Amino acid sequence: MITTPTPADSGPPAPRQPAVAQSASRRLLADVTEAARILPPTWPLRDFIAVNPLGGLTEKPFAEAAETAATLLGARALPPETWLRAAWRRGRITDAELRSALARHAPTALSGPAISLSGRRLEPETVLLAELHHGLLPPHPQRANRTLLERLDPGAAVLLETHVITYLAAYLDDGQASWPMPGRHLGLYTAWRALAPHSPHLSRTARARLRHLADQPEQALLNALDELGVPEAERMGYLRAHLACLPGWAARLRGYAEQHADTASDLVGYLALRTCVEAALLAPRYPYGTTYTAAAHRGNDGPQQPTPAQRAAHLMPHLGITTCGRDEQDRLAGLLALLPFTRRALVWLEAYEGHYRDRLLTALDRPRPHQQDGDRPVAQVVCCIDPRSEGLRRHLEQQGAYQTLGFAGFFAIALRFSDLAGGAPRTHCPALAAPQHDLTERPAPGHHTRAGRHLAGRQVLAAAAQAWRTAKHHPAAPFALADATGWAAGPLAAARTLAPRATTHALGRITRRLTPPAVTDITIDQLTRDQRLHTARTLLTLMGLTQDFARLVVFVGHAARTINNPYQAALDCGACGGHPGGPNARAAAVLLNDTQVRADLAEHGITIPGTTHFLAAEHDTTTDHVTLLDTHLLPATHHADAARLTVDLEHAGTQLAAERCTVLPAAPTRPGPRLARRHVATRAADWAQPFPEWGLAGNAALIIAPRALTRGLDLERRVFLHDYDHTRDGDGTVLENILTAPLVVAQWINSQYYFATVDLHTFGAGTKALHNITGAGQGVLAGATSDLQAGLPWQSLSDGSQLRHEPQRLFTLVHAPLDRLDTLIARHQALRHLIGHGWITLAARTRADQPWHRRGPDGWQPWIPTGTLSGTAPA
Amino acid sequence: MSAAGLLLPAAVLLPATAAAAGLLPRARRAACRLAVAGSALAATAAVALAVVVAVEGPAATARPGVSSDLWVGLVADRLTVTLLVLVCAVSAVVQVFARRQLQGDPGGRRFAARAGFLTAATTAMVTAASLPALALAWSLAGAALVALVGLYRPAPAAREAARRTARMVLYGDAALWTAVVLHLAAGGESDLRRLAADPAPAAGGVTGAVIGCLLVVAAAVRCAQLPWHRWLPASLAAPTPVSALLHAGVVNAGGILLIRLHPVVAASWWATWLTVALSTVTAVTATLIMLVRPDIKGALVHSTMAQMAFMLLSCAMGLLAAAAAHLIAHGLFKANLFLGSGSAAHAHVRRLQEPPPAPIGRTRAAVLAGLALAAAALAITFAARLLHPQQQSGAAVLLAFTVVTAAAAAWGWLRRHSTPMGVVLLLVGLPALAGGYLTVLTAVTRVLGPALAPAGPAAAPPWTLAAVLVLLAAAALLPAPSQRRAGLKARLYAFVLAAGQPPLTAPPALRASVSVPVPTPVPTAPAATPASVRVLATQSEGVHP
Repeated sequence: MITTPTPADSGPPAPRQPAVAQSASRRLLADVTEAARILPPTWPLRDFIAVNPLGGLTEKPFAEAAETAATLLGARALPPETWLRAAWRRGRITDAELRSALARHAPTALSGPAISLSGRRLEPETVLLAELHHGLLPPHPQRANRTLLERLDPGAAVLLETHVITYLAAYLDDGQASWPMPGRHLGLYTAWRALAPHSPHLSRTARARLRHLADQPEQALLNALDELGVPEAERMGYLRAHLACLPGWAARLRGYAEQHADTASDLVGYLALRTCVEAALLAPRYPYGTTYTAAAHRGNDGPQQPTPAQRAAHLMPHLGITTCGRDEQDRLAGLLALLPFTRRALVWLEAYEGHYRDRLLTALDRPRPHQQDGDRPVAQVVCCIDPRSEGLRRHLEQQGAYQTLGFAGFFAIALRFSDLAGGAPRTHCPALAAPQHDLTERPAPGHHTRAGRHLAGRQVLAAAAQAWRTAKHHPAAPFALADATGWAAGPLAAARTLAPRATTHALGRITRRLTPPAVTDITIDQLTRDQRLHTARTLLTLMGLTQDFARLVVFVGHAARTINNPYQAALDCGACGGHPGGPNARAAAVLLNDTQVRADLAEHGITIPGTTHFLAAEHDTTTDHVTLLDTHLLPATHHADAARLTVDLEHAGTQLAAERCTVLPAAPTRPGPRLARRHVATRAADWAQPFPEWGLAGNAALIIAPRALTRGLDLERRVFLHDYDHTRDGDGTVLENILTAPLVVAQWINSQYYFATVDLHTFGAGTKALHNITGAGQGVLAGATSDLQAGLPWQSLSDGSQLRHEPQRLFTLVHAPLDRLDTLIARHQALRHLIGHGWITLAARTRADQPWHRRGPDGWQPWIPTGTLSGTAPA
Repeated sequence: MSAAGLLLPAAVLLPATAAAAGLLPRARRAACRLAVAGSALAATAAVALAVVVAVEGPAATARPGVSSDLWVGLVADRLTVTLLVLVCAVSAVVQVFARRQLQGDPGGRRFAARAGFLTAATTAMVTAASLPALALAWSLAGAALVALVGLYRPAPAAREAARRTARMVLYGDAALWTAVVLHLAAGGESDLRRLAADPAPAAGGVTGAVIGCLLVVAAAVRCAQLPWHRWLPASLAAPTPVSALLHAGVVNAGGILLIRLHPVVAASWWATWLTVALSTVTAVTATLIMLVRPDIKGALVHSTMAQMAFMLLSCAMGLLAAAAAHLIAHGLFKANLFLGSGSAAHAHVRRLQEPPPAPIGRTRAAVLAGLALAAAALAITFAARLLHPQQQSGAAVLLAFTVVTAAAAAWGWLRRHSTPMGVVLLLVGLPALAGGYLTVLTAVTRVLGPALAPAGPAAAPPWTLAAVLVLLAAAALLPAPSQRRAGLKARLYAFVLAAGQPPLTAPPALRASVSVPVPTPVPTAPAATPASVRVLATQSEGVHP
């Protein structure tokens, strides 16, 4: 029980003190937690999981969150208008789309009376369109909320950042440095406190002050804030100013603290570190507790925003008006004031999005050649919802009577997987879920010898790697090591550069010779009978695959194989936590092939025919090769089916590779099948290649509907496809699951791409050419030292001349009864926020023959397309 | 004109010509292709020249100046042609790498041109026939270096890096030119061939000492030795291919200078001991920094400094063949590591996928360590006995370094493979590797030997290198997590950590200007079809869009 102290409390102070301290530190923790919401917890680079950089602000409307990001982070959250105007000039946005976006976002301005300027009558729409086309541009946002040190002594502020980066990088290091930070296991603050007084970065007086810090980070933070004189009421805002100084490092620390529950106070420690150094640097100049007031009027102003009057004066020449009366100009300014800068940028964005969305909806309803899928399909192929799977599915369906389904690529089995060698397990499930099962491999019956050879080879390779590493990290060893290995390293580098594919393949052949691939079974022994039944049932129900099973049902996970690419994990399966999807697909197949599971399922109304076999596969998204996994488990009766599937997958992959070549930079534009295959294989094997594949760039929409809606359409690998049939989902639980898990993950991925495109310097990772991996895969720095680069580099978003990723918020289309959606949205706050606040746009209808409805703030409205699909570019 | 007379200028001029052509407004689009072609042709010419030199002996393209003294010209003997092949080959590989890596990058074309100029200047420097020509090429290479480091200007970090580098290049140039002028004023020989053949220096006494020390300063600055080292970490503000070029080529210039001017430098005790002091301090400090750096490129940069210190120390000891061999091998080694630095994250993942080495007790650790050391010592001694690699004094210390390396590698191996099979593999593999390494070293020494000056009279004694080895071996005890002397270790750690941390140039959170140069892509034009979403052709038609 904790008592809150009251001002009237006049008891003896001594026994009260712990309670006071406890409640003060509780309030402090609350403030820190609230302050940290401006930053998303991020993952290390090797488990690259997409996050919404403004995920903590989704309780605000999008425009408001954009303004908050501008003030707190100095970030742009809406695409620059110069860029959108260029899109308009190229015909990518039409005036009709601008008008319809205006009607949604500035109805009051549009419905106002016409204004007359020097005798000309101008409709509000004309004025506002001119403003959109030619209006004065706002300055780039700048952080307005700054720390005391930044305001009082910018030079010392740079010193503080250098100091912080030094220690944070050393603390978060996961094995690059061979001399790790002493006391690292004690947490950031404690480790730093022992070292900081010896840090030659800081002045002698500052170091002397750092010798007398409190033991506990909470206390140290409170002391430092007291010393600076930060009032408690403004404390949260002030802590935010500190967190926004190095947003990348702070976000990674937040993620680290959340992933290692034992160091949950690291964020407090981080803020204590920062404020203590700040107080130590400022203390000689300002008496105790006066710094905050001293800085009150210094340098806390953002850039000057142009006033409506200035905007009006700028706009008049573009309206063809040279002079006009004062009151006329005021009326114009009044009209423009109804369209503030953020709103104006939002109108542009909406028009930009509307262009794509209208075309998508039109295409979905365009009559297509009838698909005859009356017969039992040859195979059912379940792919990840990842937009890249759309290409594979489309091409595979063209090969024959295949039924494809879209489902989250972890196949509803949240697992931790370690392979045959039994190293550290990796988590293969979305960040939203917690892994429930620990799965491993064991040699398949009859393949023990081969598995033994595999493991022996692995041990030799691991020992060789360890020998190399030990010599490289020994202080006295690298000299002769360079002498001895340079003669081989040079030719190897040359071979890798001049003949990347041949070299990588040769190295791969040597590795395979040493470690012959083992035939293994993934074990599901750890699951109890109930768990197996439950998992299998969930899996099939969520997938909507509870009847009409084909002879083969294939679960296709996906992975990317690239080399020398720090962003490898960003190309792997996001639903598997940035890891390959193969293990999940294998586990799902093994589970559903289990006779016991099938018998139990039959009791619960899901009858899987004895002729049906579940098979796992992995789609390499870089080369578009699909490999069937665990084929040794395939019954002889199904060999012919698998052989046919392999051939068709090969054809589909080749066509997909050829299709992708047309958009990859420096790729053959019209390659034949052989050339396309060779080219994508070369890209995957090339260590100089910054664009191995486009990943999820271009993603724009999520469609939750039966495949019949999209089958036969080329969606250009831009759409997440999740199968859903509302007629089989009586109580809406399946839809609820889709809306709360895959939708959220898709939104994270979409936001990651969107924000990195919109502000590459805050939410993106700059350029790959400067990347310097820190902490053995914790993240990348730009050059020798910098903030930790979050998000994606420009090489993931554009080819340098054209944007590959169009910044659009996620457009979600659902085939489901509207009232069911209403119920679910009302039930989940996260959905209410995402949909209600404009982070995603939701459109739905129950059946294909009905019109689409858009979910607005006041419920459902019919989707009104701009109507003019052939908008003309202006002269 | 002989074949060599054509090939030698070709190797020097081709990269520069290609780079200059790429700057022409008409050829701008082809700038990268031109640079690749230029560097590839230069590399071919260099290899051909190497063959010619191997068959016909040294060649030169030289024009005596007004007097009989040689002022301009290029020379290809065994040393210079080997270095020429190194420079041209590294440059060609990096140009090809950069053409893909910097595709779409705003700095791509500038890189191609500036790297071409740097290659040309460096080839001229390594093959220069006279002292003034060498100094001129040295200065040109410095200018190209500054331009390359500042490739991403006006980004603040790139501006700062270029500023730092420019200052250091000026220091080095001033030292070198002063030394050259003093040397020539004292009646010194300007033809480098005759200088190597007749090691008696013209200037003795104070002038000789000043000349030697100035040359050492020039070399130390280019080799990023303390206290002139800060430009090298700052140069990470340039893209990865620049780093590869820098660490495989530019930093070696200091070593090349000291090797080619060894007769002048090694005539003075002052110069020798200045080299020893600078390189000892650098080797120890940079190695310690390398141990604590958490970022891959930062660790590589400091490793280069230590390696250059090792090379300079070899030069000071008069082990010129070893220094030259180290220079080449390290250049290749580091270029490979820099170009592949993007795989650090994946390498860590692969490491995690293997089961961690089992913890071992004290006794077992002692046994394994003893086994590793014994295996290493035996393997190296055996191989050395068999091959007699070097007859010079100090070779034994170099072999001691090799033993330490082999022991460290053997220890790492045994940590994961201490089964009987592992021990057998070690006992077979280690002597084989040691033999291979010493064979290569012997071959390099034999090839380069005739072109190298003998050790000067003031060469440093072998114990200097042994002292460095002892210091470094002692540093290996620092990372151990024992509580003994924890306070002292914490102090040293904090000092080293701060010493290795490059300062920020601008606060990252105040993005008044862009922090990193990125292209400004334009919006995509709407698709040719009216809808961006196309209906597929039916299967029966069999046509795919």
